[in-house]
Amino acid sequence: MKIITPSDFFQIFKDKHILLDTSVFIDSFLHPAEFGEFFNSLRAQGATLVSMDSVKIEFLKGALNDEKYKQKAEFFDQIIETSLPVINDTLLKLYELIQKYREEGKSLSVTDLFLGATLMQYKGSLFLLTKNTTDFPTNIFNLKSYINISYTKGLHVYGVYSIYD
Amino acid sequence: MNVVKNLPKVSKKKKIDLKKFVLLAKKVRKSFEEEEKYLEKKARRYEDNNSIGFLPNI
Repeated sequence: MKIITPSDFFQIFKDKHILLDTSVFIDSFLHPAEFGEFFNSLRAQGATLVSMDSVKIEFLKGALNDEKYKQKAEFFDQIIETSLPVINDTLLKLYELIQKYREEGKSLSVTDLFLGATLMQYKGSLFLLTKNTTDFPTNIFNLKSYINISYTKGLHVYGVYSIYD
Repeated sequence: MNVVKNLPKVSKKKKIDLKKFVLLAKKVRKSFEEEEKYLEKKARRYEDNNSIGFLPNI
């Protein structure tokens, strides 16, 4: 497995904040050496890796016992440098976003809406890294870059999104 | 209204210890596999209940 980035990828996100979706954490425990190195490269460029509680909840739920819960939480916390809180402004943006999505919003998860609303809240300075490219349409979100995950068989794509000004 | 305009800054950049990270990832992967097995077992149980017309085990 190999993570392939465009040549300007690390330059684009130098000193920026990158919001990580649940899919990133799942692929990270499947391919920890590659993702660990990728995260370190981003941090070395001054990028700050962030997430939020709704993503952490998605990742933690289902843990079979206390020990496994703690291991999942520790893993999550090793990747991110800080967690963005949901504040009143996030909720206002979330309701605004529901209106933007129109009927396309029907199948969205609440976590996707929180991620989108948080991008709106920090417009211009926050970017979302997600494998869930179908739920972040380019009529609302701006695809800034991408990464390819190359497997022996097949290729997966992550999008890096911001919100239009 | 409580509005945070600026994103929090992380002054001290720490590298992930890859050796520890890989070890922990293996444990987390095992947990997720066990959770999947639980979900499959649960789905099978409900499927069986439906096929023979029993009420689900709520």
